[in-house]
Amino acid sequence: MDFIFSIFNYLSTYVVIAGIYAIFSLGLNIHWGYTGIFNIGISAFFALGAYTAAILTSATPSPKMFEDFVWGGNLPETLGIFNLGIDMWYFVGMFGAVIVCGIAATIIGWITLKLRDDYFAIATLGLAETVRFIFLNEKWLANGSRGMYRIPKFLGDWFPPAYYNYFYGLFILALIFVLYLIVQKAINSPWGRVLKAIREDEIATSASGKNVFMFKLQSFVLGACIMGIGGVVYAHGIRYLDPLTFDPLMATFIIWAMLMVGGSGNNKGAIIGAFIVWAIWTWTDFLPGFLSDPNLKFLMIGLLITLVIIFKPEGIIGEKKVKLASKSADNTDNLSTKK
Amino acid sequence: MNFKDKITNIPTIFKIIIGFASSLTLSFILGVQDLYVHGMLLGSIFALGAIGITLLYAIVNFAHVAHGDFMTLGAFIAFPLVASVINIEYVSYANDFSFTGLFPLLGLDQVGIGPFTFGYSIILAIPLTMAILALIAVSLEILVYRKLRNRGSSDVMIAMASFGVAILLRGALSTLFGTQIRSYDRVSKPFLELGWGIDVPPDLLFLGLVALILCLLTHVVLQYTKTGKSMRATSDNPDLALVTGINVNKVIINTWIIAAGLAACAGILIAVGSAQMVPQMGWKLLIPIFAAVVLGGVGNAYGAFIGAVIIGVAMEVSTEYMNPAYKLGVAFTIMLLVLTFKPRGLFGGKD
Repeated sequence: MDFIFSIFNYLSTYVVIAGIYAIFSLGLNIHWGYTGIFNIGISAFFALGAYTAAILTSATPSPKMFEDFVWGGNLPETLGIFNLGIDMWYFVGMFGAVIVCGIAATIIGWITLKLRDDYFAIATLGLAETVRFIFLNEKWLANGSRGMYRIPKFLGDWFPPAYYNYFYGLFILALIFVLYLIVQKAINSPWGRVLKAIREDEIATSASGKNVFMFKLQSFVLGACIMGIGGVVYAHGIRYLDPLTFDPLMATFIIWAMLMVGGSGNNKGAIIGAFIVWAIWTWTDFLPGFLSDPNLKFLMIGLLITLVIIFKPEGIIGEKKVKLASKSADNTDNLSTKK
Repeated sequence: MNFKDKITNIPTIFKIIIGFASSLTLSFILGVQDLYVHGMLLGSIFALGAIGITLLYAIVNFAHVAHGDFMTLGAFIAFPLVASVINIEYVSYANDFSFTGLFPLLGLDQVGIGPFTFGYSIILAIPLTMAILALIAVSLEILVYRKLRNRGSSDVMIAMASFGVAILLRGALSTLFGTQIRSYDRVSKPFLELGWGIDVPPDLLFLGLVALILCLLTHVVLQYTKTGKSMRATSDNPDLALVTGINVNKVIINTWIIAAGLAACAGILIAVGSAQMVPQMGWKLLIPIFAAVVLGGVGNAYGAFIGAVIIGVAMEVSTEYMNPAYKLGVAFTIMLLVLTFKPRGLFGGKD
């Protein structure tokens, strides 16, 4: 019986983490899968979302929160500007995180989305590193490299700690479902069709009177906000944040692998890809010897992305082919793809 | 003729000289001439990377995100050549082992020649590493990028592929060498006093010199050889180049050889200059290097050189006034400012 219980425990932890990654993957799918903008700074929005929620919802700095105190140091002036006892409700933290991510995305997008696609990529990379350095070096803001501890649980009082992960796993699955419905609704609307048109042919889209820049910016901000929500869920689920969490490997690269494997341009694919890649990532821990080397996994992530791009760019579940109304239209499509 | 026209009519070379002289004077007034010189030397090393990226932009027309990892790869290819002891400690594997590098095996294990911290082996390793990395780059071009181009993938898709390659290379290095901090064999040496309050490590002078020589070589190749002329023709107008009988695939391969060679050298120089190397260093170098490319104007090799020197100086001088950890943030801010106000860079480039 204990054995079965421990398996369930393991599975619930798996669902929590894979589910958090699925939220990021959904956000990235709006950027890359539907609009074709190349965001390699996911960790920026991950960090902004997680830290904003942690700062807003943590109790007033108390001895319990900081390692400095545990090890005999002074209680730091951490959260100096927020030292008002912002013991906020969970959803206020989430709202704040979405706002912060939205503002950061608007600034970066406003500057770079008018230009070539690759400037945007480098700008997101720069944002990610800058955000990480700020949280690493500004000790007053988020306790620097020691990180923030004991971030409150979501509805932590309602469930006994032993069963909390089951609840949180179910909560995340429900959240993914809601976000999936929202994104699906947005993508199937006229707005979403413009995004796909931009991905396929930017010049033709702007020739038909659409403001490509504004659509790209909206898509970027929407995806970034969803990533921010992912960060919030992470902060309350893992309950510990430090700048190392936002290393590009675990906060950017792996999410790209999830999206590419699952299938960019398909929301179901993005979610399933997260669960598959996270399964590969954690279950290889049980392999013997050299095979469970974490660095080898890193290599596999890179190999996975490259191979998917070369051999199966549509991933496991690709985007649904749109049925064209008339036969003649179908023929022209065939001609244009052959060239 | 108004004032603005007068400014625009000054030849670019004079503008560069005036800018250089005035900023140098300013650095003396502010008392940061030491950092200024450091920044110039570091910048000329960054220039090796920036020129490679900008050439790839000009000719293959995509953002080579793996360039930083090419530099790391260069540093790590040279490592088993020059290090006298190479320890490999696997995280979860019992059999750690160590072996001796190639040049020390051949008897070249002396370090600390003259005022420098390194030995002759590094100087020998540079051309060898450049050749090896060029080979790797060409095989990647044939295995990955050419396939994607032939399929008609968009530029962003190819940039995405280079992102995958970047992770792949970094993962391969971490798997082979582990993630601990390593450095080439070295002995500590005193700084060289140049007077006027400028102290530089002699290494950095040598490295800057090597970087400058390679930049000049690139200039000669681009301007005076047939390879360089066909590269410039392809960059200006790929269709016209194709019609006039230039083999575009060959030009692209030549571009990869030059870019990878310069990146390999930059990697070694940075690893010598900072006396340490880790598999993740290249990913961070990407930011100052792309900032240099954008500042100089994408596709403009000379602009990339000047841009890299400016970025290097700005990053070093900023450490006087703020937390040194924000160096990368300075480069990033400059890039955002350039993209906002002068998206074609200082010296004009491709769109």
